[in-house]
Amino acid sequence: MYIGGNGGEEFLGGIHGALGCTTCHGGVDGIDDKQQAHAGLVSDPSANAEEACGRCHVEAATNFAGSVHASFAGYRTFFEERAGLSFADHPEIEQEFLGECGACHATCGQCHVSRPVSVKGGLVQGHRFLPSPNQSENCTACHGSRVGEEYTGSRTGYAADVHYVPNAMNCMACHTSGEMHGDGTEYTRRYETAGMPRCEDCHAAAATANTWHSMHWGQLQCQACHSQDYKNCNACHVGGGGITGSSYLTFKIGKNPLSDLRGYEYVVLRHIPVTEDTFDPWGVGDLANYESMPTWKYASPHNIRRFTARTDTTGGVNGCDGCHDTPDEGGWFLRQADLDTLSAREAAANEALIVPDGSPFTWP
Amino acid sequence: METRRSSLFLLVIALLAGIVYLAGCAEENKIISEPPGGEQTTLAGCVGCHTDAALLQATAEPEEEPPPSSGEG
Repeated sequence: MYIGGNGGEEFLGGIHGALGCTTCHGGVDGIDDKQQAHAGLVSDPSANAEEACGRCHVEAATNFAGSVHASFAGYRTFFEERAGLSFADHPEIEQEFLGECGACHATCGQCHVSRPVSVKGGLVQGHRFLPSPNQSENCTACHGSRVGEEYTGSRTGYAADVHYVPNAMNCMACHTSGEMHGDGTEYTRRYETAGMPRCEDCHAAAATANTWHSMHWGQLQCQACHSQDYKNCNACHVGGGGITGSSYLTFKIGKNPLSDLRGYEYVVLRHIPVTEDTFDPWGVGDLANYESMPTWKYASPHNIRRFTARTDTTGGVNGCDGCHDTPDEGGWFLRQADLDTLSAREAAANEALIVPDGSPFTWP
Repeated sequence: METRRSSLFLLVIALLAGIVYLAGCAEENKIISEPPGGEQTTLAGCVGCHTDAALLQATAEPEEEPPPSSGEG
């Protein structure tokens, strides 16, 4: 680990550098021998946030344990629900989980000092403590293949999110430290998190800005009109198998599976790559309660544009027919035709989210 | 007048004495280790090693493979 450059100089001359290396990292200072110097070394002291960082950053370090970035609670919750088992009763399976899915959990250091372990770490700026994480080295290092690509418009044929202003409006413009650090509540899934940004936080005045908003505000999730196509994934397997199915771009609106957390009636849904045998390498076999949770999930694609395929009024198109006349098969709504391509169990898992065939004007 | 000159003279003498004393102390405060054999070495320490890119490259060990990533969250 090389401490150098302007970041290294700033770190060594600053308050964190003044603490001395062994204060946080352990080990033994003042010794030439590498092995002796590294005896008892702690590579990421912030993994125990309260002990390491909480000496000064009391509130953030105390609250962080309950945040989903630290706890990975959503992944745990959904696995336990689908598998019909508890990690408490199966510590051997929990060890498998912690070794794979759980390895992506974040620590203070993996946002404010180094890149995440999941992308091989490394100091971002010579051990300088970043007041805000770096968007590309930290945030999209993990949240890269969906959010990162969507937000920066790196997919051919698709534009960047209208909010993307390089070096100006990055992730932290909406996702504040309060949201990231948590408030001490042990959230079980990410959309429970207090302080998550909502479009309405800044755009409440748009509720009556035009006819479409007046008719659909609050009923349709904003992304249902203003998101571009987004990535969906198929067939992931643990134990080194990875994604064995294809990922693809599509756009599906369906009934809201998170109506308890988000009040919309219809929302954008993204397909996730959990299959009945995803966790079989852990000795779980097929997931006992696979049907209990949908595999089309509430999504917030970060590729917002004012004009999308849904809102395009070029040539005098009224902006309604695109959705209202979208075909039953291959169209923009999640329908029975989409479930017919799935296994019987997966179709059952998503049955509650599909909309009827035909124009929304004809729906009950 | 004579009293003032005497006071100034004493002050200068005191200052000079202080400077000589501190110089002597600084000489004594140098830390030098003398391992068996009599050769003198300086101790690098954490910062001394980790700010020396050439040294780090020479002593680097092969990286361990990180745990497999579950993909983007």
